[in-house]
Amino acid sequence: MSSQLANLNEEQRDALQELMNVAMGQGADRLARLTETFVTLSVPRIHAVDVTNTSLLNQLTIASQPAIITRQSFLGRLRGEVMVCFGVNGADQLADLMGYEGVEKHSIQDELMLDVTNILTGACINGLAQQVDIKVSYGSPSLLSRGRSLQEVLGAEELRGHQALVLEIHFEVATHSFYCDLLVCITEDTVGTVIEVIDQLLSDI
Amino acid sequence: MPAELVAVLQSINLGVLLLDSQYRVAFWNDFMAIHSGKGCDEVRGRSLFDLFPELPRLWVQKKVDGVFALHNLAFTSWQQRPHLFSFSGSRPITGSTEMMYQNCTFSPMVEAAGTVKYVCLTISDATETAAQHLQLEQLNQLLRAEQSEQTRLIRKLEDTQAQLLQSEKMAAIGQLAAGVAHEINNPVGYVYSNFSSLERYVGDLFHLIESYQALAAEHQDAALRAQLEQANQALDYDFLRSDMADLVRESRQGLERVKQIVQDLRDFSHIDSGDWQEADLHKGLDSTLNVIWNEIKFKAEVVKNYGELQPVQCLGSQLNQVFMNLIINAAHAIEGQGTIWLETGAQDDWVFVRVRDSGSGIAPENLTRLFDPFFTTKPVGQGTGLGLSVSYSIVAKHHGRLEVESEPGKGAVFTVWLPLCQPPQGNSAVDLPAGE
Repeated sequence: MSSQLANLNEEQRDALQELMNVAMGQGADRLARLTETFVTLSVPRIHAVDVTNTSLLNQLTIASQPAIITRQSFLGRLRGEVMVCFGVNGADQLADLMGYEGVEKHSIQDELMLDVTNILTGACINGLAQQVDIKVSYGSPSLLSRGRSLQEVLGAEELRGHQALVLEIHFEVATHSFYCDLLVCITEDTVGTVIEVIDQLLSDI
Repeated sequence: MPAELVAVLQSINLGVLLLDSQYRVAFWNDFMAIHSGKGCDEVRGRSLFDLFPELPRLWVQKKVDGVFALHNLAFTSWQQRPHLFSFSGSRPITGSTEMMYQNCTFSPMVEAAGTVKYVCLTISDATETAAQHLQLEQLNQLLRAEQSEQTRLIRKLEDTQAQLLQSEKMAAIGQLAAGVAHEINNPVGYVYSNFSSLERYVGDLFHLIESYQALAAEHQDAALRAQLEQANQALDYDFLRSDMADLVRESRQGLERVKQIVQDLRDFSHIDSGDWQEADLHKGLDSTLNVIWNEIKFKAEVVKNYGELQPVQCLGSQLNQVFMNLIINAAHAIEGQGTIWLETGAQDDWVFVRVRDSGSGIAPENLTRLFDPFFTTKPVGQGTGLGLSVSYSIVAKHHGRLEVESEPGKGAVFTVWLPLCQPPQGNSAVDLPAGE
C-alpha cells in the first residue's frame, strides 16, 4: 500500500494538486458567501509520506512556533484527520464574524477555535469529497495541543507509524488579519480512492 | 415520515429538532417535549428564540446559517458550552448540578435537489461524563495541593537533616579533638616539667665545668692546660655553651605553644555542649583564632578591636563554631592578602561580635540566599554551603541575630548580636531544656 503513496508520478501529483485547488476554491467560495468577506484557501504543498517522517517535518512550511493546535476527524471511504494550527491568539480575530461575544473568556476562545476548525475541515473535505464523489462523516473537533509547535506534536511518540497523504493548506481572512494553517492527513488505506479518481481524470484527458 | 422512523425519533434518548432557515421549529421529538414542557404540536412553526429566550440569539443564528450555507456538521461540547438549553439536571436526587450538561450537533438535511431544507439539531445528555470529569478535576487539584505541601515538607526535612549532619560532624570532631588533646597533654606535661629540671641540671653542669676550668688555670700545669684546651676545641665547647641556651629557650617556647593549642582545642570542642554557661566571648574568639590560625595566617592580618564585654549566657562551643565559620569565610573571601577585623561591643542588654573582611564582597542577588543550606559560591567540592546556615540557626537558638552587610568589591561585615541573658525557660516557644 505504501508503494501507492510513494510512487505517485509527476502526472498524478499535478492532477492531485489541480483537484485540491478546485476543491479549495469551492470551499473558499462557500465560506466567503457565509461570512460576506473575502477569504483565501490555498494548497501550497502535497506530501505522500509517513506523517511523522522527519524530512516531512522539515519540509513543512507551516510555522514551527508554539501554537494552539486543534484536530477533527473525517470518516468513511475517505478517512483521516485535519489539524489546524492557530497562533497564540487562537481565532479571536473572527469572533464578531462568527457571532461570539465575550471572547476574553477562555472557554469562549476555545469554542471559537473549535468552531473555526469545524468550518474549515468541512470546507476542505467536502470540497475534496465532492470531487471524488464520496460521502464523508465527521467527528467533533477537539483541542490537540496548546503551547507546542506542530513539529513537536507530530514528532511525539504516539503518532509514529502512520502513512498518509499530507496536504498543507493556508487559510486567510485578510480583512480580519486572521491566518491559520491546516494539515490534512488522508490515511493510506483510503488514499487509493483519491488516486482512482485522479487516474480516471487523467485517462479522460 | 414513515411511522417507524417517527417511532425511532420518539424513542431514542436524544433530543431531536428540525429548524428551517428562519429558525422556526418544524418538528421536535418527545425528548424535547419532556424536557421543555411543550409538546410538538404546540411549538410547530414557532421561532426557536420565542420558545427558548435564554439562547444566545446571534450565536445560534450564525451556527445554523453555517450549516445551511456549507452543508456541514457543527458541534457544541459540554466543556466549552455546558448548557445550551436550560433543561433541569438529569440527576435530581444524587446529582450536584442544577442543569443538564449537553453535547449538541447541528446537521444539514439535504433534499434530493441538493439544497438544505432543514437543520437538524440533536441534543445529547452529557451529564454523567461531565460529572465524572469534574470530579476527577477536583481530585487532581487536591492531589496537586497535597503534592506541593509534601514538597515543602521534604525540603524542610532536608534542611533539618543537613543541620543534624553538621552538628554530628562537629560533635564527632569535638570528641576526636578532645581525645587527642588529652593524649597529647600527658606526655607534653611531663616533658615540660622535666624541662625545668633539665634546664637547672644543664646550668649546674656548666657551672661544674667552669669550676674545673678555673681550678686548672690555677694549677700552672701547662701540659694539663694544653690538654684541656684541646678537649674544649674538639667539642667546640664555646659554641656548645651558647647554643645550649638557645636550644633550651626555643624548646620551652615550643612546648608552651603545644600546651596552648591543646588548651584551645579543649575549650573549642567542649563536649557537653548542652550546658548553658556564662562565658567570656573574648576568650572564645581568641581560642578559636588559635585553632584556625594555620588557615588564615598566610591570607590575613587579624586586627582586634575588643570592647567591654560582660559574660554572656550561651553555649560556648556552639558560638565558637559560629566565630570559626565567620572568620574562615572572611579569610576565603580575601584574594591574595588582606585584613580581618574582629570587633566587639555592648549595647543595652545586648552584645555584638563583628567580623569584617577586606575581601571581594557579596553580590546583592546572593545576599538573600546566604543563609540557605547548601548555598555556596565556591566551586564544587570546596565547601559544603552549610557553614552560614548552621551559624544562623545557632545564633537563633541563642535568641540572637546574625546580620550581614556587603557590597561587591567592598568586603563584608557579619555581625552576631546576642542577648546577655536568655529568656526564662517556658516563656519562649523556641526554648531548649538545659543539658539537651
